[in-house]
Amino acid sequence: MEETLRLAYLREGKPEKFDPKCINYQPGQSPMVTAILGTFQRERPAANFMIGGLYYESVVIGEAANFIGAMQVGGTANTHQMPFIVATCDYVLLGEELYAAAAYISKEPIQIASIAGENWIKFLLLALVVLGIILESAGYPLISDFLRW
Amino acid sequence: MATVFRRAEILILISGMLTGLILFDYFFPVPGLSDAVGVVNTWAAGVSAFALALGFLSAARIHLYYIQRRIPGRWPFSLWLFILTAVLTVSGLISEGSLPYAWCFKWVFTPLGATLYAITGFYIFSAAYRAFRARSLEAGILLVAGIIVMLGNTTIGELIWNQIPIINEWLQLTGQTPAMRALLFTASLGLVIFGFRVLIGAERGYLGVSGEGGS
Repeated sequence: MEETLRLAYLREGKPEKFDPKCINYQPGQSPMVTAILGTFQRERPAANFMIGGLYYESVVIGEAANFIGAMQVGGTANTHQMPFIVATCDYVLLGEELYAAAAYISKEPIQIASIAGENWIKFLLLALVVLGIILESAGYPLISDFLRW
Repeated sequence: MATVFRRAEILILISGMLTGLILFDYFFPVPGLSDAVGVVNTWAAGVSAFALALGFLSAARIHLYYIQRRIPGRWPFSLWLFILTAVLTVSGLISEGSLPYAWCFKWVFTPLGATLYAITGFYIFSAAYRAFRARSLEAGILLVAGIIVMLGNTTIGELIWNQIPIINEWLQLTGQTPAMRALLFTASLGLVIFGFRVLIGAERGYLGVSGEGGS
């Protein structure tokens, strides 16, 4: 984590701004929420990036950041937390957008190609779903039999 | 020597091999390979334990700094952290059922966690207030759907209009479930592609090393 952040500061040409003390380790969900709420009140950050496998902390942290007027970016693939992310954050990354964000920002050809490939697989699977519905309705359960195999 | 092991190629090779091994075992269960994957999973548990220790060292470094510099409003809490860590570590090593260890968990940690979880209700209330403001057509639809679902989950809803529970059920099963499944489906596909990018070394942000292969 420290190396990742150090490198990010270095890449932006401001290595002197990096302070390892800004990285706080919190061992657990409730201690993390408490620590973040305290940090928000003390330091009043301008932005909050809340990305990952979030649980009940999404609404608590999101609302606390709203109270202090911070700009928020939220992202999760956890469907139960998506409504809270949408309700509290200014910008959201939902589901697959979360995994495509790095490719979108970096513009690296290999990463972009993987997203394009993913879209083609999606179309292919969608076509298979439609074909499966037609075959199943016509009394030929070929695809469902194949999936059960 | 240490810099050799921190080179991007080495890290990508290790993560690629392990990802490939686990993926292959998932799709093509080969006898013997499953045992190897089991060993890898045990290693993962061991590495997680090391991460916990590393996390504590990181936290200890910061809190020692606060104590040494007597940072106002911080150093007493940092000192308290070390005292509690020492008490709980020693009592936990003696026995998990020892009085300070069990007492702290039962009467301090658990109630504090439950209290924090309980205040989520207030945060949901204020988030819902903002989300349900009918400023656009979409927000208006959300507001109506939200009211119907809330009423449908209470007994008063049926008293107001006996069709509310039926509409509520339709919204949750026919309206919500397909949308959630579509999100899950595409997210799962995105995760597989992300795993593939990790496998081939195209995704290297998690390594904390530069893209050029150096450390």
